[in-house]
Amino acid sequence: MVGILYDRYHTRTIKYYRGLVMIMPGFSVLFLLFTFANIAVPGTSGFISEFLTF
Amino acid sequence: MQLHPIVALGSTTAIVLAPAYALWLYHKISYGSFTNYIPRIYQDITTKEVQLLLPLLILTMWLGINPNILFNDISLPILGILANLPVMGIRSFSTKLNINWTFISKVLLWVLSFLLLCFIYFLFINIVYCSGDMPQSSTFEVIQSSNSSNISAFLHGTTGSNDSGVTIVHSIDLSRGVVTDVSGGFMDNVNNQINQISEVVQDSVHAVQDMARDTANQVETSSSAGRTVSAVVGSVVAANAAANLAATVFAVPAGLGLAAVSAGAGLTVLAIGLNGENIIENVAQTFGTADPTSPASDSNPWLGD
Repeated sequence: MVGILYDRYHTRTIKYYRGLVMIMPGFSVLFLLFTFANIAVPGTSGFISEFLTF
Repeated sequence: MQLHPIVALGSTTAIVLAPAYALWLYHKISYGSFTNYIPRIYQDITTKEVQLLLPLLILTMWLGINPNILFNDISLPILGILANLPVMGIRSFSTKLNINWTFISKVLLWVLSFLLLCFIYFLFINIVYCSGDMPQSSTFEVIQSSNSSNISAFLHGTTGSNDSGVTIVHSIDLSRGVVTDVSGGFMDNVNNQINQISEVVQDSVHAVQDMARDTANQVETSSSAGRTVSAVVGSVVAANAAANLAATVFAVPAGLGLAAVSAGAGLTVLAIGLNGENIIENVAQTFGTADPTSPASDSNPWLGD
């Protein structure tokens, strides 16, 4: 996902990014889904791994 | 795990903090008005990239919904490993070194809770004060040039983004030569060249120019008659008068991508006054790097040395 952003804007600094929903809505939706997977929302594989932690 | 509280503390903290950071990241880069610091490229995620990411997403969801496809294969070996594992738990370790792990874990818990509260507080402050239409300043300087295309680059700072790339130059600090842009507008595309400026644009610029020159003559006490750029005024006094006019006259050539509109009550409009007849030959505009950490230059590019 970061590669997609870097391919367009050539920076990885978070400070420079803001309001990408307006420009790249599809990217934002995908990024939200991967964020959900990252924070281990039930239904993603992260939840299984965190569930096994306990 | 059940015998080692330190590991439990660490993993639990990671489980809590990682989602906080992920959500903070998503909030930072996705929401708010579009930033001024990167070029406005209207290119959404392409089909190739979707094809790249979709298998990842499907596998993630599949493993999340039906993890037994993995557990059926790994459960027996894992059970074998667990059965043969020597117990290296906390109890044998602590009896050897005689360390009060309970006390240490309590202290660690308090420290981590405090850090977590600080983090949440910082997050809250960040969201409250740094989201939305927080004014972001971008500095640029006006340099003297006879290149006829640069001024149109300034006037058409929203080149290629006709409908949504609205540039509103908010105010201008005459003492430092810093123009503040609060609109979330787009101050890049400096090198884009527009070859034609319509009559309407020229009229509107001249109209604002007259107002600006009046105020600028008051400001500009020191003589800088030789300079080509004579007046750049964005003060509230001039802008209140100029805002209405500018909102009207700048809205007309909006088809060219030029729009300097004072939409809200608090917005001020930068007015540019120029000496000479042909504005195209007078001013070249170079926008800075818009680095938020870069200090503003001390020299005033408009009012002479």
